[in-house]
Amino acid sequence: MPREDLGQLTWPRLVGTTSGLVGLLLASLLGATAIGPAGVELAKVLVSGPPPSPDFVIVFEVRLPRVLLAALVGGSLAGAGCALQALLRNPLADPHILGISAGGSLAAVVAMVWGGALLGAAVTVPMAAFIGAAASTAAIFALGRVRGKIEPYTLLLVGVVYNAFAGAMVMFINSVVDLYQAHGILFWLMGSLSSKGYAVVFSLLAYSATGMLLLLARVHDLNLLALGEDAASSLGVSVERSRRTIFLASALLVGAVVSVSGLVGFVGLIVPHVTRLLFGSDQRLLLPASYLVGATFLVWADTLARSLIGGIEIPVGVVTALAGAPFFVYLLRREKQKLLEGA
Amino acid sequence: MALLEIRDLSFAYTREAVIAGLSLSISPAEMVAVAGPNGSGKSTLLRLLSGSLVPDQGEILLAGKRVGEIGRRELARTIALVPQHTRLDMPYTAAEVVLMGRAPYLGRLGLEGPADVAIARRAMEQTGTLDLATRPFSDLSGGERQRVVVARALAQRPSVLLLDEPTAHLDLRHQIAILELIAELNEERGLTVIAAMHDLNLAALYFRRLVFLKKGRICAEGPIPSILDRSHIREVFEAEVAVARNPATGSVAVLPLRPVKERERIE
Repeated sequence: MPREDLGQLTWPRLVGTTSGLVGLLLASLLGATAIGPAGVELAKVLVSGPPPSPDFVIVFEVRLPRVLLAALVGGSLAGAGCALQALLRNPLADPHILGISAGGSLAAVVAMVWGGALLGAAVTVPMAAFIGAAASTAAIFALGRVRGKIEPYTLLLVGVVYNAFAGAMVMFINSVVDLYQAHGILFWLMGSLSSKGYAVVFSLLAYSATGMLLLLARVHDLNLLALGEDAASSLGVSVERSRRTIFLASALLVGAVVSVSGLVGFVGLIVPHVTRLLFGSDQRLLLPASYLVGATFLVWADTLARSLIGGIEIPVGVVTALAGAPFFVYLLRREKQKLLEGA
Repeated sequence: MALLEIRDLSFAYTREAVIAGLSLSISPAEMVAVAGPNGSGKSTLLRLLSGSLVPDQGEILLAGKRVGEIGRRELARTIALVPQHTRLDMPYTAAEVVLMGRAPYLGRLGLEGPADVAIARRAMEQTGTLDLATRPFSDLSGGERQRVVVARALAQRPSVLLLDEPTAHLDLRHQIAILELIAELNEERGLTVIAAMHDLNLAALYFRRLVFLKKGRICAEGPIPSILDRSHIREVFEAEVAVARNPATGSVAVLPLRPVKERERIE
């Protein structure tokens, strides 16, 4: 190792780690596509003259879009979580806990029930979810600031209240619509990735890619903002502009995800945290790595959700919440410990 | 020509002015201490000088150019700020924090090159923090953190260094170590230093010029021996002191006194 080395991020490490994670994701996509209730023979899948064989249909029309969707949802949530944790300087930040997902889901429900006629549900629901998520982000941030400083615990409390409020509004809407719609909303809210076509995959891909590109363009700022606003500013960051971009990008990522898969909680919390433990805090590696780890994580979580109990599908949001809630308590306790030690 | 020219500067966070019509001229390679009671506007002045805050009125000229018209990144290559506290909730290593000082020189997606690493390494050597390079910043002691943050500021290769109470929360040995380093950089590299200082004795030991701030205005300013005296301190801090000479260095030493009534009763 050369004398000049300070353990800093280098191109070989950045490229190597990212490629490794891409490989892992691709392998997971393949692996997860092969797993399912119906036995599928690879040879029969690939040899498929018209009319398409049942195996071809199962793999390419049912499983693959679902696995791809899981990857995009997981990646987007982890990317947004990673950015929000940096921006709010709070390792407990997560789109779900802060209430951004809930705000998006409220707007999405409104659009589902009343907005479908406007432009067609495929356009209005993600749009509404994005606007709802963006508005919630702005509101939560404004309420979580005390004398210009972001107080971690105030922010979490605001998130709790916001979640409760948006949840109540959704339940209210749910109770006034007809039973069929109510069931659809409920199942969607639980966080499900079932039976969506390629159109949804491509729509989410567009939102997800835009959000991530916006964040990657601000990747230095995400590092510098960890030092606090004054220090970031004195290092050349246009704090306000940067913050707006990061919020917008997070809202794009979260809004689109919510509109497709409802409330899949804790991915944005757990994944960046574990990724940080593995690869360090530098956002230039952490942000893309979080996305890839999040994508891989949700592909397997969804595979578990649809194959854990034979014949029954558990919403993937239930799986992530069951894993995530205890993890959050663990983090909270550790943060409290740190605060007490620091005092 | 003045390096920094502050003209009729005013700033308010809410309605009440924190900086009220302040003018000051600072030459290259000066070492200026800013002192005043809590809330007198010291930190705000530094934040205005670093470009973190935008003045409500007046202007700051850096080498004849308005600070507001200089790009943020370009400004960061000239002026570095060491805030009073640096809290970091993410487990960045000390070296990563120092390397952040190179951010104003990097491209949008770039990583630090060998030259950047060499500069950061040099800054860590100067501040005696090289041994801490791979330790998480948040695990370091207050003194170690302060030195790492100073190293980060030096990695910016600034010509002006702003320090907000650099010796607060440090023990005596580290207070002296930080100020020695800054004085050395000032003498050897001609670094211009402006520091908010609470400790008037340390200010007298290391700085040549003192600016007394009170309620956002300059109350008095000039060479330390001529303005660091009883009447100025009474006026600025509303406190009684005796002023003596440090027997070893001959620099001004400020000794706090109990209020007059208390003393009379004792006598």
